[in-house]
Amino acid sequence: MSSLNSLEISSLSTYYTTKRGYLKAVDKVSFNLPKGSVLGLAGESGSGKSTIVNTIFRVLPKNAIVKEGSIMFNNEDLLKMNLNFFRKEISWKKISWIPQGSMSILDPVYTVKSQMIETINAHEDISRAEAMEIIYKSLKAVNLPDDVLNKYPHQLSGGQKQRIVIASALLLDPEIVVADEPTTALDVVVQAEIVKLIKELQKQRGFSMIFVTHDLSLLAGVSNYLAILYGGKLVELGTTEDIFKDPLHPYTQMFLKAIPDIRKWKERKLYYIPGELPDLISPPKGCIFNPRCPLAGGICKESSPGLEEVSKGHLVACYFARGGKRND
Amino acid sequence: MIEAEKISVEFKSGDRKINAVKEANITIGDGESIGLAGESGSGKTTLGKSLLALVKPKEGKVLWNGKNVFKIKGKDLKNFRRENQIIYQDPFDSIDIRMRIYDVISEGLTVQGFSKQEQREIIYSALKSVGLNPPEAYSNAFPTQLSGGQLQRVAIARSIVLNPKFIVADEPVSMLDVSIRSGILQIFQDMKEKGTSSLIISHDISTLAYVVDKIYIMYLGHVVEYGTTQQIIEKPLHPYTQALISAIPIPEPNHETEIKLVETNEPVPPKGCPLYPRCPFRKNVCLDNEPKMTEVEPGHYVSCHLY
Amino acid sequence: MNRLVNQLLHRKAFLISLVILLFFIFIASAANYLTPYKDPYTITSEQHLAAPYSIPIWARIFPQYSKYPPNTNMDLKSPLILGNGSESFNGTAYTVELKPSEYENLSFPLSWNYQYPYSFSISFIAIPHGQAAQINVLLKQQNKTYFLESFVPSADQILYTYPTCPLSMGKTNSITISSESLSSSNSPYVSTLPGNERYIASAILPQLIFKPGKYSVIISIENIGTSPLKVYIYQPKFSAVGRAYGILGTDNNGASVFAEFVLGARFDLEIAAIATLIIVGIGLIFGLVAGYVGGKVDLFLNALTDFFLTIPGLPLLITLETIFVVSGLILKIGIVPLLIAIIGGLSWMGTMKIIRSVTLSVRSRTFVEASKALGSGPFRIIRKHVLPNILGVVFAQIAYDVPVVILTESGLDFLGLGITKFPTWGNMLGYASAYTSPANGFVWWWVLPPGFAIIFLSVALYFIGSTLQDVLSPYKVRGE
Ligand SMILES: Nc1ncnc2c1ncn2[C@@H]1O[C@H](COP(=O)(O)OP(=O)(O)OP(=O)(O)O)[C@@H](O)[C@H]1O
Ligand SMILES: Nc1ncnc2c1ncn2[C@@H]1O[C@H](COP(=O)(O)OP(=O)(O)OP(=O)(O)O)[C@@H](O)[C@H]1O
Ligand SMILES: [Mg+2]
Ligand SMILES: [Mg+2]
Repeated sequence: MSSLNSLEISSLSTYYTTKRGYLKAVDKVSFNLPKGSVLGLAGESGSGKSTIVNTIFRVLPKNAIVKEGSIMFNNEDLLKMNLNFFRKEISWKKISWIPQGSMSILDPVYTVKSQMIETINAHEDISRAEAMEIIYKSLKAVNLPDDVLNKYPHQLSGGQKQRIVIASALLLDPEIVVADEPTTALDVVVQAEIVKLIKELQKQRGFSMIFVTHDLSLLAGVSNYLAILYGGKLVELGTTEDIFKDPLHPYTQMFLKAIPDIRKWKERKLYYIPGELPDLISPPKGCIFNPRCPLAGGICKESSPGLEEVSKGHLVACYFARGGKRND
Repeated sequence: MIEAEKISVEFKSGDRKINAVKEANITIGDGESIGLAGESGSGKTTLGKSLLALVKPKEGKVLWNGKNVFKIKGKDLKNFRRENQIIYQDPFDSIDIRMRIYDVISEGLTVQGFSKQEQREIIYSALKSVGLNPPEAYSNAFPTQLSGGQLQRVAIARSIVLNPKFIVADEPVSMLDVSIRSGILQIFQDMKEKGTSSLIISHDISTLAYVVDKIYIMYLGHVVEYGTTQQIIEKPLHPYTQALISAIPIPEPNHETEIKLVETNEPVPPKGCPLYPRCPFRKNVCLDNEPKMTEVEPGHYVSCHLY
Repeated sequence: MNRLVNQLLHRKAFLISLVILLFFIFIASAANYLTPYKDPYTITSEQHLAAPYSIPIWARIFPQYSKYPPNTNMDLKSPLILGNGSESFNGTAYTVELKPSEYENLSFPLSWNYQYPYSFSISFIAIPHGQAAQINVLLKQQNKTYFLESFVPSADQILYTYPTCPLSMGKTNSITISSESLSSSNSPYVSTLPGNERYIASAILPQLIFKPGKYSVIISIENIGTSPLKVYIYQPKFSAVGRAYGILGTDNNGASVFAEFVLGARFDLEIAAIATLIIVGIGLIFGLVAGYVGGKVDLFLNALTDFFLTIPGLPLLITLETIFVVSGLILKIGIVPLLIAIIGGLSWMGTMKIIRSVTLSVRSRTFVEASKALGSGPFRIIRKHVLPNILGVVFAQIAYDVPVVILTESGLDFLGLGITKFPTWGNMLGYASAYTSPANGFVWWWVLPPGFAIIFLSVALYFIGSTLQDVLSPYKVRGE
């Protein structure tokens, strides 16, 4: 793998077995996470964001199968690693995780302190004093007073809980942080505070980060790169700037247009993508987006376009995107 | 026209009392579309429900055509229910999943005494108007077979079949994906054009701004500011409103959002301004005196000691 | 609906439970066909069907019971004739013609493959024509001969040193020699026994006489008069009351345990059905009202329920019973309705609490408020939204309450406080345990059936209840 990347995901497919058949939650998704950068993983509900994250952390539910693909980290495939080794040496220590709905992962019957100490002890053989040292440091990093340590989760506000989860993720100074919807349950003002905090921490410590969200406008201010998912497929990949300024995939274009922009409220023009999200168990033939796509032509109903580089570092999976090679 | 005067709602949970709404005034004129924004737990839903007499306030009254809605009974109450409807935040919880879609929508019509033939026609045209086409296919389905977006449309259809004059829409799109949100908001705009007035509750001002004429801002149970959409978006006066608007993420790379409130654990003063602990402009007067609602410019009201 | 049935049928525990329940329901409803008996506790003719504590017939597959005799009843046939008179058999009667002091022995073979029976009897009809005859009845095994009884005309009785019984000449004598009525005053054999054995002869005779082997029943006829004698012997029979009986053996009275079990099943299920209806009825109404109306009504109903809950159930039951018995009310209403009323009236609280809590949770669901917002009144909401959503719990409660009733009723019966004069499972357990001893093998065939029935029925109903609750739960419908 390239030394410029901290994580390389190639051709990852994760399916769920259901009564009706395979649900292709993630289908041949490839992207790299360049060192020291933030990659935004965006898509609507059900597009497979959490499935990718759970595949990386090897915490998939029982009915999930990783059909193919690799996740390279320091020249090793995370998916082939011994699970115990992965649990002890990689997860939390090298790659840490802010799971979706993470505020509820705090155990209501333990104080914040004992939960943090437990996290450290699971991975490092160090004394209690040393552990406390680390904890104080990371609390400071997330701007929380030390006295939250002796509180129980229900005594904290949503924002405080989220800060604690972030602090826990940073305890062991990981190289990569994966945040799955870290602000979804929060108020706009608190969300802005948390996003700002994450941004600052990332700059200070220089870890690489995957920031998963359904809210593209949030990513505009946070991420360097964007990966747009639709129905388990990666439809567009590029720098945040390229994608916002020059979205190529019709889905990305319409998605961006549908995002309300407070600066444009006076236009009072509402855009939306007609139709429904695809059924991932029996997806439409051809391009997964074709039933909702205004550009869809004959070929789109026949075969599924692959990801092609249109300009440097800007990839799109569409037959009709500008500059895209047409196979017909 | 619906008018709430000094509504205060108190909930008891265990031995703790929660003042969900405090002395809130709100007026919804005929054909008006009002937005209600504020942080989570600020009392938006509670205020919306008290307008429809679904929550009993400790104090205050709500006037509907001059009648106090908490006192009306019998036929009056039935008429009140028909003319004033609510759409709930969570369609999964607000629809009884044991009923077919047709029966979900027909419930209001049955209660209000519509005949079976009348019902069929009304229901099919309502399903069409919320974009559930063909109506025959959807009306036989069970709620579990529909997606959240489709279910929210069913909830809307259930309310509009009664042809209400006023609708409270509680976070009608927050459960939905961005790509279909606007489709739902469009339904509200269409209804507004037909003269239905509405109260749209949302914590997301940017969505509200697209559809409503006036915006009310709530903070910890208090209405702290209200005015036309333009006044609120472009010239927010209350420090909380300012913070709320500047915190809205802007879909543009490298845009910096500003954070205008102080982070703190200070308790809210018992008598003063509810924003006191977090307010960057706080003065001594704010600690002991609750600010009064004042009209700063025509139609633009704020309760803050700065004005 | 089909989906529901489908889901139910896909659960093994449910299916097994259903089979068990149906089995008991079948037994209960077919009770009249399964057993001819109506009430083995009070009708004496339904008792003593076999030895008390008879084992079930099939239990003879166990080695220790393998030689237990069943009830035996046979015609004695093809006798060996020995003697100096003449004899003929016309298909119904043996005719024996004897000149003075001639004799004739009819020796009927009897092969006995079992241990001793509870009792045995030999019977036949004798019509002696002539002046005087002596008819002796003997049992012979190899070289041992048991002289059971001797019949002579009353006038001749004094001639004998051993005990004899009277015989009427020229008349029909129905002779039955039963081990239970043999004593030193009528049986030559018994009179030769040592003193202590003589007194308990009727009880020990079968043991003294019978072990597996070949026997012969000898009817010996002698002309003790001075003119020719003609004796007709009809229907010679041997019968033994066995010590293995029926499907489930017998109780201490020799009544059929199977009959008691089946009658008990019917009675218990009937009582359980009625009492459960009362329990669920009260529980449902109070629970719905308390949960839905809330406020002061809830407070009151809840307090009432708590009050009933704090009453210690058993002592109150006992007290009430006593009051009813003393006041004579019990005679007026009958113990069964009273028992149902008491059990029902004291067992609804748990059901009420559960219905109340599920009603509360359904009431707080938004769709209930939504219905109100559409203009529905409380009755419509309860009928259309609350009831359908708590249906699973109601069914589950029915299933859970049936065993409660059966257990309570059985418990009372067991303690002798409930129904005592009719076989119920509780009574069976109660009596059985009173009579259990090592000597009768702890009457396992008497104790186990009602015990297992109560356990199996309770477990099966528990599974049926929880499966129904699960499958009917709104969350299942949603596929979560
Ligand atoms: N355990 C599971 N079994 C079957 N299907 C599943 C399972 N978990 C997720 N799915 C399906 O896989 C698809 C992708 O789910 P995933 O949770 O990855 O989406 P997401 O992009 O994280 O969505 P959200 O924004 O709602 O979190 C969805 O269609 C979902 O219904
Ligand atoms: N039925 C209730 N019982 C007790 N407390 C309640 C109840 N309903 C609401 N509350 C409390 O009242 C306050 C206001 O709640 P409300 O639901 O009106 O807020 P909201 O502004 O709608 O919040 P959100 O944006 O999260 O929907 C909250 O603190 C809430 O916990
Ligand atoms: Mg997710
Ligand atoms: Mg709300």
